[in-house]
Amino acid sequence: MAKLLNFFSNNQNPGEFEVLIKPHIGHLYRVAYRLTRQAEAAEDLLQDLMLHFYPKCHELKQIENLKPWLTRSLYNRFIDNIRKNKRNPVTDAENDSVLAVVIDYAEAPERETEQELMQQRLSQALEQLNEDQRRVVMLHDMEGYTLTELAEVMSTPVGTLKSRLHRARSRIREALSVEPSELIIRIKD
Amino acid sequence: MNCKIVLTQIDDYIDAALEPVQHQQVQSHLGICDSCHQSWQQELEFRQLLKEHPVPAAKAGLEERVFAKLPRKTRASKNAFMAGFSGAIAAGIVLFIVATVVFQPDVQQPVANIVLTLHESKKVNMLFDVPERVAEATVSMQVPEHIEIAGRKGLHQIEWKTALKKGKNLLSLPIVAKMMASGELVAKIKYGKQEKVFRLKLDIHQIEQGLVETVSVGMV
Repeated sequence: MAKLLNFFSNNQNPGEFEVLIKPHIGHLYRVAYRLTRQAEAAEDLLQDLMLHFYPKCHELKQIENLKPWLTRSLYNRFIDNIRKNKRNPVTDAENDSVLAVVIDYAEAPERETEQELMQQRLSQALEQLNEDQRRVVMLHDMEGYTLTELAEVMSTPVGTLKSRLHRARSRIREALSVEPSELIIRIKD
Repeated sequence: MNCKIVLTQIDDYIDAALEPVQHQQVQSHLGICDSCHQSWQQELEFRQLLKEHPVPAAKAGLEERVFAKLPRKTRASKNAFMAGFSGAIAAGIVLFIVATVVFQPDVQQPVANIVLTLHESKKVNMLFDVPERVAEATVSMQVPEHIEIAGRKGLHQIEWKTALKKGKNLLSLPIVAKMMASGELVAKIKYGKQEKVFRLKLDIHQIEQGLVETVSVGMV
């Protein structure tokens, strides 16, 4: 009975979960998008995480630094979901993404500003990385996590992450050095 | 420190991942070597490009959508709990209802939702929090025709007299859905001329084999 009463007492504060989570929603969505690269999939992943932790609000309150902890949980759920799905949706996302960029280059290169064009080319370059390289460059260089933090989030040694990051940057630099027209020809072939 | 070494350390220099001494050496070299300084600037621009790689904004109302989809069992407020009813909770196959019984003139009680699986017994636990001992109260529970009290075939209503101790009183009732239909479980507590009524909305789901059941329970 004591456990039962404790269970109820842990869940009675109105909106307590929302108060804990709200400051991190935007960040978690960004990370989810970086991982899934699809808005709908990112929202699904975020929702999945919330449903998982909602009954554990009292546990969340014990976490001193919630942001990295939630990020790690989000990452783990993302990996778990990939493992559960026999058909990896990321593969489809890659194909869609590549196609979209090619169309943009081919149809309307002049309307883009230089910066927008560079970001499109960067998107294209990111598609050429493998999943591990892409994740580390997105979370480190784009979302600002340190390698030490990512070692925790991704349960991977700092040295390994560092190697992936260096290789990823090299491949991106190489891809960005190729002229857009050459890039289109290469993909179409 | 020569240019070759500096160029291999520029990444770590920007990441602030070098030892203080090495960091200082690279910094000094960049101050005197135009070529390495230019490489460093190019690397900074590259990093800035990465940093600015956009994430499309989420559709408007992300927070509302995310929180709205959470089970409503623990979204009931403490005030609501203390006022008379906190909701029903599904955990595995056990459901709980918590209520504070304050014998004041009855008001319309909120209704909780419970999802049952067809032909699967579930236990509804009602936890009544009573501010003072009640020597004799009459408790009754009524379920619709398509719901049975488990182990009591054909029984849809029970009533008994009992004393309620001060504090938490647990009432447990296993029920099973026999047909696909909606309905209500109605629990009443009578004490003298006072009466409190609690209603639970029962929804029946038929779970296909191999699918994971999702149970939604909460205040309406």
